[in-house]
Amino acid sequence: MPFRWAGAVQTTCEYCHSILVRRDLNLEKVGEVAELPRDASPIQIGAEGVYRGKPFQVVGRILYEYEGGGWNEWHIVFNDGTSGWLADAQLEYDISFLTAPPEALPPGDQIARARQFLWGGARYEVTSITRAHYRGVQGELPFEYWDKSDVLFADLRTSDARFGTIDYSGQAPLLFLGEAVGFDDLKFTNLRRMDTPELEGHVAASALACPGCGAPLTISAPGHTLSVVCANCRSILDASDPNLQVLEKFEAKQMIKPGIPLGTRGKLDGDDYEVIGFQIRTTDVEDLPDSWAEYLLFNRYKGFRYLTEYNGHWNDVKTIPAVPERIQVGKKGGAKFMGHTYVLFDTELATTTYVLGEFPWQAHVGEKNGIKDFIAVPRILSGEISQDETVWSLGQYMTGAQVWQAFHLPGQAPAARGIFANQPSPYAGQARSMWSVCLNLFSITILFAIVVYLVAGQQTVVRHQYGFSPQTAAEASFVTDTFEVTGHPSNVEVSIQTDLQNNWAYFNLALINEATGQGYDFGREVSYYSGRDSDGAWTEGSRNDSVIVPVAPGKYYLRVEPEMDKNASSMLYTLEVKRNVPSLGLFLLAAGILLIPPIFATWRVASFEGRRWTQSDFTEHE
Amino acid sequence: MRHPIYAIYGFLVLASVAFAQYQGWSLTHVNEVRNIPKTVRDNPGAYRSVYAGYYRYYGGK
Repeated sequence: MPFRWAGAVQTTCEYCHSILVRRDLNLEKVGEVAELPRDASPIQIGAEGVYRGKPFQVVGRILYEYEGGGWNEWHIVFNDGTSGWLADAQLEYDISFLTAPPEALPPGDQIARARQFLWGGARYEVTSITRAHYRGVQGELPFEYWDKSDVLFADLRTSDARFGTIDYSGQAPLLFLGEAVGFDDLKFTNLRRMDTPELEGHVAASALACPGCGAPLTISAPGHTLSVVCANCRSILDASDPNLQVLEKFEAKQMIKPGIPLGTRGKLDGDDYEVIGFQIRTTDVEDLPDSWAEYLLFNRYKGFRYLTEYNGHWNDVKTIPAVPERIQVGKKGGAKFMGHTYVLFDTELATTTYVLGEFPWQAHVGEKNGIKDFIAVPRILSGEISQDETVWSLGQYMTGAQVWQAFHLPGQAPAARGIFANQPSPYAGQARSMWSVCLNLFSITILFAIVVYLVAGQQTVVRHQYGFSPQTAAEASFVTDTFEVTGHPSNVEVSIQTDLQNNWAYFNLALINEATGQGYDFGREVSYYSGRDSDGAWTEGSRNDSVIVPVAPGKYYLRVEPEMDKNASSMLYTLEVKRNVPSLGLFLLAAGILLIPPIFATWRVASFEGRRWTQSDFTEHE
Repeated sequence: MRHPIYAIYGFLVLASVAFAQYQGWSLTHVNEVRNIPKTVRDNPGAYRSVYAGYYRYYGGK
């Protein structure tokens, strides 16, 4: 018996299936392993890979089954003599190593889903508890492991994809810690060929027929599919049974034709996927049923992923080997995962109402799961909670056109209706960039205003001081001397400076062109009050005022008619006329007009987000 | 540049402001009166301003 690993304690004979245990220098046969069921893992004994820069070789495995399928625990040995475990469950991979528990592990009857442990600075949460059935061993193992029956496992995950298992197969629980790994990251060589007749024949597609109605059936994920649904008679069949035992038959009001036909192949993220299953799930909130479709996609090496569709909105969804960290985002609940902050959007109870095709689980119409959706547009993070496990998945929004292109579907995708939870806003970023342009335009406006103020003439044309006493009976109105306004058609600023104190004055003014008789008639009130009260000193109004009048060149004079309260004391005031005075009001008006487009863009963004959140359960509190 | 239409809009607004500044326009309202008799110069009291009798605010705290 050749050994690949010097530290192996147990091995199996490939020919006679004997289980051999090393005792000193001898090999002792302790039993025989039954023929292992065929499985569809691409890994085999002798496969080689690299983990964190260290080459490893697969030397043995333990195979388990449970009601939700089966998985392999591949025993891997590194070239430095150490060994670990590569779990392969439905093409999702975790590597872990036997670790001394930082604290006493709870006994099997005290472990529960959602229980948390703080180990090595990471918060591990129990995501599933599995009572598995030992199916056999193969190759070299670091300990004696044979003749087992039912074994309890608790799987734990962290927010950063660390992985742990508490193994209750022995007298004392064992702790294995590690992390989830991607298939491509392990750089496998010497993998099992996946196109062998043996594997294809695991459930021979050509030979399958529905035992309920005789209709032909196809299974595209042999070794992974646990149930298959006959499209003709709606029987749900046990795909792990060679006779395809009918598990149940469901009633549906009408046959539903998936928008993407089963068997369609497409490419997502550069990998080929085939649509193998379809289900409709329905929520029933306030007697308003709402349904969405889920397409199950399969790749022999990359495993499963999903396309979900609701009212023409699509999401490319993959399960994630992590438990996102729950946080508070303002008043709303939230989650943190891979550096992104997600906001809780809704919680719902979803019921499976229609199934078609094949599934790597026991499909069942009427199955209910609690779902929590968190969004960080364009991503959606969903936690699906069943009695035994919590499965987290991450979705990325896709348009119908992108899906149609990825799967080479004929025609056009149905138009999307409404706004979906994680649909990217078509206006996102527009408001921000428009405000950036606005800021630049404001800078130019300010610079322009400074230049205008610097180059404007503002020549004083006339300036004279007058006195006025309301108590005199003489005619109050008078005209000034004629003054000349030169240059191009521009303006003059008529300003009034008074010495009013707790009083008002009103000036009826007319700027009259001496030659044409054309006049500009305007009135200005000047008032100034001040005093002191319990709040301290106060003032109101101003002693000065001015008005800008656009005028053509020519000779002008001012008609002035001051008014005051009859009992008021006299005042002194100065009238000044200046030529070519910039108007600050025009710049302010320009600033206001420049603000209109970015304000509109901001409103459009807010309106889109408002409509998005009207569909959420959590506008205020979780 | 992103938003070229907005940028063009902005420059048109600024060009309008430049033109208005050159023309001496302002936002204050004055009442234009034509054919004011030349006698006003000799008899200012004979002219009746359109603002005569305008409401006055008797301010103060």
